[in-house]
Amino acid sequence: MLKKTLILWVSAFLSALFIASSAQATHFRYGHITWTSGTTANAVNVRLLNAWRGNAYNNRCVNPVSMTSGACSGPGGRAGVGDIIIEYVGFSQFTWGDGSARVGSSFGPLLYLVTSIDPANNWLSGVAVDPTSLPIANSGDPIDTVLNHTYNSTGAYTASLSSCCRISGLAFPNRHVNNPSGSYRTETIIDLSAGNSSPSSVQDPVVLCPINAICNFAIPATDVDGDTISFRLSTSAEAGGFRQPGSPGSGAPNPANIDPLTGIYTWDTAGAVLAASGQNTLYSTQVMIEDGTTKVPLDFFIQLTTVDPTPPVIQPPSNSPPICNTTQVITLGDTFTFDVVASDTDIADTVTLNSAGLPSGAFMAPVLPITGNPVSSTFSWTPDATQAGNFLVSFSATSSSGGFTQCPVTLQVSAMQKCDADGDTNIDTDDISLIFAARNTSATGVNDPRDVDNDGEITILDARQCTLQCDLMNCQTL
Amino acid sequence: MFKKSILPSIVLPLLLISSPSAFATVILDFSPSAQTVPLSGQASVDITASNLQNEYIGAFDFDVSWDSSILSLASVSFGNALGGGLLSFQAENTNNSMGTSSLTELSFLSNLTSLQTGNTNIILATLIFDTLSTGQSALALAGNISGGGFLSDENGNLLAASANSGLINVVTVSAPETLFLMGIGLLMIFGIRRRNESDDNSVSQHYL
Repeated sequence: MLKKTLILWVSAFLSALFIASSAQATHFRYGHITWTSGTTANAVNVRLLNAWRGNAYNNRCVNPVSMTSGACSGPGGRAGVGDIIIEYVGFSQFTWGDGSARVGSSFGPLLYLVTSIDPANNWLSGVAVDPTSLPIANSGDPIDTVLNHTYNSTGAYTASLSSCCRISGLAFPNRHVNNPSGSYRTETIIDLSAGNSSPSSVQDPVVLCPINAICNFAIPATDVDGDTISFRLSTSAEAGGFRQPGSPGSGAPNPANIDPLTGIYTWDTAGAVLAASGQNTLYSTQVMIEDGTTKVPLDFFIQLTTVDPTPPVIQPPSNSPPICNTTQVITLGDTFTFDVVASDTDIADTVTLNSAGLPSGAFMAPVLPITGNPVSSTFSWTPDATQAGNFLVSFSATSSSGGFTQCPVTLQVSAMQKCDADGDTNIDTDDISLIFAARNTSATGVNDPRDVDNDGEITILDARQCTLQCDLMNCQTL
Repeated sequence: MFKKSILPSIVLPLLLISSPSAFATVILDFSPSAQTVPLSGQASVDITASNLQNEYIGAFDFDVSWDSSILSLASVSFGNALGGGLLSFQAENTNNSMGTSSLTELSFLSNLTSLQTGNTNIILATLIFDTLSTGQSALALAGNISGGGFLSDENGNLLAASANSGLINVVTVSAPETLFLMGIGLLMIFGIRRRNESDDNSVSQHYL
């Protein structure tokens, strides 16, 4: 009897241990935090972008109308693009840094709107959902992916998201070399003095680098305030107890580094420990992006692969302007679209096109990832009233021979309503008069509300277009 | 003598500088395209739009130029095809020493069908010139929209247009002609007085 009881207790203990460990195991793939000043004093709007293990959330998707959890829409029962998952694995909650309650959801941990998936490499990425915006009234209504908070006073607050765990040493098909099963931490300093907003970035959760070669790639970053941006590798403490690639004990002899001005990340991968054949060799790294006042983290993986002599390219369709490494200006309420085409000159290669950092409400048609050579998809987005600011989205092309190319695009959503020249939130004769008086002069910039057609010049055409947007008939003054 | 001096002026060629386009374009003209006026008289000329082909003009913005040694712009009146009054903004900026005037009108009306048919020619503006000296002054139009456009359609898009030039010939009326005209005038005055007197007599007789 005693023996039977002992066996039961041991079994229960082992089961509990297994559940506890699996509940926090090997799911973190990517992390980034970005924020902007709110419209009231000491208010901040935060976006959390993360990637998690793709098969960790089956049947953990939330219906945002009924707020019930259940099946997901992705392949194999996994979460798909547009699903909302409960991040129960790490029970992630965001800390504001001022002692106030953490942000989670009515389920406990944060919810994430899935914006891209990679079934082959078993990850999904998403952006945290504002729990106070749920439930939504109707299926298809916009999902608010901005966390709002107001601090009691000005100051520099260290806000963070941390838990356990990063990928373990061997979670087939991945082998994580330098920080297996380690804790993850992404932290930012929120300092709202002078109306500052943070830099923002985006990165594919996994960047491919060649084995035994010098790898260079640029960290995309932008700052909505126009502040000068600098880059550095995060410290161990900032990243939750961490070994950067090439640091002692990381499994690689040559330390990675980043140019503080250009953001070019460089790593000589010679001598780095490799996974067994058929497995992915992964090294985790975290970069800190600073604007002189604040800092934001970018945590991602580097996967070592064989060198592809003809890596894939991402180009616009013929006769279309470039899109990669550009800033595209979008006016609130306008629909913005562009095509992304990826190809590889090696016709034996197939190319997988994927995206990272899609804003809420943006979509790709067809849905990514897709594979072929060439492959193309169309980006489309109509930013809503809550989405003024800078957004970075990145497209990646990965060839079957291990080639890798990224295409970052900055989407600058203008808060200024076109035609509202006097900024009083309505369009009337006063606005038309200002535009009329300024005709045949240069616009002050992309956000000039008088330059409706964005051709850099204020003309009678802009004035005429604005007369059609007046709030009252015949542009009567409100 | 009269025919010899006047006719050549009346039949001055109407010449036109137009820029043909591959697309159907609205045509801007001066109307009349050519005219002769006596020195110290005035010349009136309309700026018209034709060949609209179901297009509606929501705004225009162009410069008019002339020979400032021959003409001086006395007044501008805008047409009513874009609304006028409280239904449009109108602006005129004239520099008579340079012989230029910038004319702009912007309609507030979202629907222009009550003022334009999309086909019928419309008058954008009427210019009245004083004459300063004899000679021929060409009239020309230059578009101000994005480096050369003249017109906006009803939606605020550039409306393709080409502009023809005009001509005003200012002449001096010669002495014989002046005397001839004065004689005619005196005869007419004399005749009118005689007729009035005759009418008065007949009326008097009638009442008698």
